[in-house]
Amino acid sequence: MSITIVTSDNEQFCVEKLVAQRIALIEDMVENAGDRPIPLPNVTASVLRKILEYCEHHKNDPLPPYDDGSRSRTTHISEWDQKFITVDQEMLFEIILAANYLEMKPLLYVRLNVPRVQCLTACNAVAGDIGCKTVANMIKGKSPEEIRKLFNIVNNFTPEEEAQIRKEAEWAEDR
Amino acid sequence: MKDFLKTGWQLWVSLNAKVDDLAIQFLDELVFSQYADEFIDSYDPSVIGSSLGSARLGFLPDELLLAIFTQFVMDCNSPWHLTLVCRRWRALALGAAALWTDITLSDSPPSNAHGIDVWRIHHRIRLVSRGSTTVCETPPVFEDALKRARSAPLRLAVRLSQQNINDLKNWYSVLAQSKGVSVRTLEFDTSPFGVGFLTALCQSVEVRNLEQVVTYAPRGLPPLLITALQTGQRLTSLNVPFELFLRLDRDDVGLHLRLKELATGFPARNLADFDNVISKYQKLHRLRIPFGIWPGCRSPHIKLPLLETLSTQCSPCHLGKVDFPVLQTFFITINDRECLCRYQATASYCFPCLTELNIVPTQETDTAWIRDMKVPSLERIAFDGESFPADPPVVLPAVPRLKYFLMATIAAFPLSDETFRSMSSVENVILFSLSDDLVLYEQTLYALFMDMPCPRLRTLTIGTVPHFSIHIDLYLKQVVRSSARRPPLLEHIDVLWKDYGLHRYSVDPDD
Repeated sequence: MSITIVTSDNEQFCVEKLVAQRIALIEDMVENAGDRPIPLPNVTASVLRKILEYCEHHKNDPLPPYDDGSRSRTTHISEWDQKFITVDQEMLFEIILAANYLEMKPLLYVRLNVPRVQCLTACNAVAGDIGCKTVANMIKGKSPEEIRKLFNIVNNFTPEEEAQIRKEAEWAEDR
Repeated sequence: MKDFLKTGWQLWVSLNAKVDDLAIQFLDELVFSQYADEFIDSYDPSVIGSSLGSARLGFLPDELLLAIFTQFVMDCNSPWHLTLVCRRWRALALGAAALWTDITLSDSPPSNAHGIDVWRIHHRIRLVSRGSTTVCETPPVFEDALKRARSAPLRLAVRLSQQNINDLKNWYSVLAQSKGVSVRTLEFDTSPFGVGFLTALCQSVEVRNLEQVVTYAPRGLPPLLITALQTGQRLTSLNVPFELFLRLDRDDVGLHLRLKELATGFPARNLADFDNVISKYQKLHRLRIPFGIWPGCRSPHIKLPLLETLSTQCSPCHLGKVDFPVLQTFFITINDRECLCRYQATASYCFPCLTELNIVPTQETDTAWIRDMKVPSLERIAFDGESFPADPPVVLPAVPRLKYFLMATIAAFPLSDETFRSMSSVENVILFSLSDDLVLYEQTLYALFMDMPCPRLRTLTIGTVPHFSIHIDLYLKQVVRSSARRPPLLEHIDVLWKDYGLHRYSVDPDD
């Protein structure tokens, strides 16, 4: 059995139900939609194609259980997931945004309906949030200037703040 | 007039749509131009993955940026690094209490080694971070760390063994002033200062939500902590390392009882009054208490419904008292010296989800219980320790999934024919001994390849052979070259020679 998904740029995707069920938002919508196409106004075709590639690969994985944060934490990303997420920055952030919208816990574990602290706790516990993990890995080991350059971030500290920060971090930068 | 109005309306609608399109196009161009300017200014061809959309990180909503920060901190990086990038990052990172919850109180200043960052906060206070952990060497730093973590549950480690007793009041006053602080994970050594601090901690902050407890050198365990855990019942992991326990003098005579209370959630002195106990710690996943004996002769029947990993020391005859329906990994050190029920008949113990069984036996261990275990999911069995019981021989449970057999013992391999025969499903065998008897290794190899008790054998690792033997070397070369002399699935044999290092005898895949 398959369902039809329509993206923001009006492209239609015919998707096997088992694959589409990896997307929590669609799983919720399928019952109400009947045979009608499911619109995804916040996702473009190129991003959906990528996300469906992920769903196809993981379609037989057990669905991620609810995690109360008590389990051990891991930062491991599987080899396939690493290859999957090796994309340019624009696509990476598109995937993160889309995964957030589509409520895909393994691709990006963020609960928008819970307070921030709980949300962070939940994030701590999940192994598969590869989108955020990948960006975190890009930040790791870089100086503030390198991070700004990598992500095109403007250093908007005032001179006074800059001086304060330099004092805080002067020993750290000596290492 | 009507036609005129109709035509005019259509014209207005059409013009309006065109104006909207032009406005959208103009805005797109404007945004594109800004991106393009910034991109051209900042373009660094060496940065793989940079693209026109590289400014998109700035458009991520706060909760997504915080999720990235969380991953960054989870991977053992200091959140301080995030505060140095820009105002938004600084505000978000300092505002997210959950990023600052990893706190260690330590009076052993970390050396300026790799992974250590030293910061100077509020102009004067020296602060050390090790990965995601804020290391507090003095009460003011601890106070500052608690302010940042606010009410987010802490991962607290207490290592204050060298403190002067006069400093106690300074640390206590920080705890007394803290409001809304709760602890989720607690790791501590229990020096006299540490015990005092823990008692103060239990009085001042919320410890009923404790989920993980690791205690080193448990010379004392505050009763208040036990009470808090029993009240909260959220414990998921309890870890009391064995080695340290044995080596240190114990100051706390009631410690054994209290540790047993920890395991069950019930007062130990009352345990014998119960026929059946379902532990209060319904969420306990991991229990590592390889001290003393548990379960023991007077232990009641106990159920831990979520326990996945257990490391304990006991007599196997008491395993019938436990009900661990999802236990996956079991480390058992056999100790039946103090057992009153020694050598009594054993029941067959059932662990339906057990995949890994690690046994430290004694020379006199009655091994029938191993054979009789009902462990349908067992994949690995390992024997470790100084000796291996040869008489009676160890017979492995008949389990189709049993793939790994590992034995690491100081003594010689006393594997009997009966033991070999019970390894019919095993695919990987690792045998290690410190024996200097070369004949022993020859006999073991003959037993494995003459009668082929392990028809599914894929890999064999054996060592440490005391010195290179041309006889063994030739024999193994014959085994890997001749399909008639080896199990059909054999891939390689690794031998660790004491004087020659590790050598692999591989089967030719074209053979």
